[in-house]
Amino acid sequence: MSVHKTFRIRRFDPSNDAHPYWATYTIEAKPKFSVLDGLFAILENQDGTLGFRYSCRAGMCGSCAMRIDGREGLACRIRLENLGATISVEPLRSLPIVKDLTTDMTPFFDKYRKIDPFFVGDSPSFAEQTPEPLRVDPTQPLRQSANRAIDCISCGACYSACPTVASNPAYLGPAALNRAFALAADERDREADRFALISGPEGAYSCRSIGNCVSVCPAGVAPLAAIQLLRRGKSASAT
Amino acid sequence: MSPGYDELTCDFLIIGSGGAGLMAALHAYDLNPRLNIVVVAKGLVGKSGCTRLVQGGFNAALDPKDSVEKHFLDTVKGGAFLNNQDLAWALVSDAPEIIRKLETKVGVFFDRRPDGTIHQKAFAGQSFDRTVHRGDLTGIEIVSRLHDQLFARKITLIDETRALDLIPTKDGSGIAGALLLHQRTGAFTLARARTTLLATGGGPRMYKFSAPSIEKVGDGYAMAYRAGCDLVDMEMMQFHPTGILAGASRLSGMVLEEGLRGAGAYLLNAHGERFMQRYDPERMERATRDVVSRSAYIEIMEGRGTPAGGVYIDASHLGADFVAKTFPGMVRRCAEVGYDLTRRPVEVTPTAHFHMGGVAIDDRCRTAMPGLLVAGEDSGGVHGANRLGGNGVAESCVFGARAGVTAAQICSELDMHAVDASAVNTALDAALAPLTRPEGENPFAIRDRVQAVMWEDAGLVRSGPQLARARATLDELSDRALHCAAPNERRWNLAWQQVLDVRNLITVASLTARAAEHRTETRGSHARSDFAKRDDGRWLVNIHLQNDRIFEVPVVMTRLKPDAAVPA
Repeated sequence: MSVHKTFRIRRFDPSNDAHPYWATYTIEAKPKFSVLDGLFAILENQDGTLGFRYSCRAGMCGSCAMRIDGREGLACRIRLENLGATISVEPLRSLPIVKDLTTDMTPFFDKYRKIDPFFVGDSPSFAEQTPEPLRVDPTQPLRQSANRAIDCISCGACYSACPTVASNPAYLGPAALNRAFALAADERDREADRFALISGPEGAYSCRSIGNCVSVCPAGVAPLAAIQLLRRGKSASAT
Repeated sequence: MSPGYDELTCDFLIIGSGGAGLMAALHAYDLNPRLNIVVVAKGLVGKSGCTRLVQGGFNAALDPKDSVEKHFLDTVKGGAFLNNQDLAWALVSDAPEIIRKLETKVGVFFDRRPDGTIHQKAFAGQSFDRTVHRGDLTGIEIVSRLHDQLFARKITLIDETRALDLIPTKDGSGIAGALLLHQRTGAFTLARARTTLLATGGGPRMYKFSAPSIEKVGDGYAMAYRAGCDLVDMEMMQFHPTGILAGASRLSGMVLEEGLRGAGAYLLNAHGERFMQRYDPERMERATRDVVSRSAYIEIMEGRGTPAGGVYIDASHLGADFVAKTFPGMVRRCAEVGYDLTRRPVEVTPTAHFHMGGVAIDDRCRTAMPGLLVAGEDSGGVHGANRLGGNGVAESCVFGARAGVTAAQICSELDMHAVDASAVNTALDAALAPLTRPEGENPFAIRDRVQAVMWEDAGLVRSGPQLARARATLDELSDRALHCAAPNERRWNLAWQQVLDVRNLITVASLTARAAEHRTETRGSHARSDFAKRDDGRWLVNIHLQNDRIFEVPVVMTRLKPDAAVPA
């Protein structure tokens, strides 16, 4: 017996449409189909104009983050069998729309860039000599919490779910602050001033500890915990 | 009438943002910060491509008890002596330094041993446990950190832009750049460069079950071939033995990493037998990928497959806690489609994974075409007839770095060439045609057909008649693909992109089938049911394809011969 699911998709083409609107499609939901499989079924057989972003289809690249039944997630990892008969799909919030479910990630990466997200070693240039790797105790608590923070796949789910991002356009957001923490906790990193980059009004102190970032993260990262540790690290280094 | 295009001029144009593209950009920039470097990615820079999908890890001889000579021996034996030995040597001899760079300059987190040194784990086909990793999701960490490094440098990044074709110089002496299509806007850009690097990834997506990301369809091979480059070893397509089976979901074919077999997981047929006993009793599940994949395929074909048409991988005897802790990414992936990897067998299928063939290069990533460099999966020769697990990301990073060094050296010597304007117009017209048709073929249906034909007739075990049939079908599909229609808007038009994808896919599939038909023996990943034996007397040659010509060139054994027990 075949199972059918109805997709309500929030569509918007900024060049043609005055306002976003809902479009409805019904597909045959084959066993183990993900939301992404459902979107492809629509694109390939019903409506070649539907816009969405995809790449790895296995939860590793973070390209297909969107809002599914009102909650951020990766379309490739959410199975239709765990959803109801009608599924609403919308683009991420707080980002401009390219078309339909495809958002422009530029503001997200512009903010990410502001925290100097790059590791700075003893000899950062590839034109310089390469030092021997340091010995790093894998059981050291800082390394362990950094190790969790680096799992971020920069999909933007936390950014969309964060009410502070929505209300304060300058706020760096959970992913960027989480990256700042991962670097601050990395004993190999030599940039001393990263705390200065996150302590302004757009930084860690603007977080209101609501925790949506933790509950929606598809990679199991806890940006809120990282932000709290950043604040503590800052006050520790100030004293 | 064609719409216009704008122009972009740079020193170094990099097409692709996987490990090879990013390493090239970083190396070229650091060696000459005055270079104007542009990275173009088909998806988002840092997300698109397959280095990110690397799970297992990166082979490098770091341990004092290991050596680059041993790594070389494993690589060439694994490649059934078809490797370009100079390239294989470059791979193994640079790999340790590249790991040190990733650790100390890029800040990659590699797993550690209790003493604080870099941990290395067991992979198949290797004489030493030399695979450096970060858990079971190594690629995400490597590419994310390389992506971060771009932010410390002045490098232009262009997202969601595909290259349509390489553009020759006006005098036909080499490559002058590429015509680009910005998928979000539908606008075209002629990118002119002193040096262009192809690093787009290979063509396994031509098969029904495959591992790579969806947008990776061998664009680099197809563009290079159309531009007149020499492609080598295209018959050599690696199938990974353990692609997850998840029904009709696109997840099917995604790899469950080799570390599972390295750690001792069993492969079972439907009767619960460890079938590798029959095919390679000595190495069992830790035989090389070509051997294990083919064995699983034979089990399935002979009726000992699972209900879904696969075999089982069983890690339950390793202990649920160990599996959960060592392979969290794999456990999660399985759980999402209803399997418990820690306690029960999981259904898997051989899945097209990596294309050993590609554009012929030298050990500085130069092609015979002035102005064109190639690195990573787009190039051929490093791995011969079969790639070892853990040598793929190593190749991307090692040769990406080499391409960056080469570009930094030659960019100052090379002139900016005038372009062949007619080539630009031909590429534009071909790209735009599907938008003007109100009705026509569905590109997705053609893609499905390509994947089915290649799986059935040019897959794990092939024969002359099957390959001839595959080629005929591909010719027919190639004609049909010329009549595809796509909605007429150019902006973010996924159906249009699929038309462009499927053309390249058919080109690469045809090259694969043609080379496979030519090689009348079984070697490495290439198995012929009508020529089941390896024939070193006749076939220690590489098959080349160029401008519709097929020819053979003997392998030059610069370091190691098949009868030698140790490196020369």
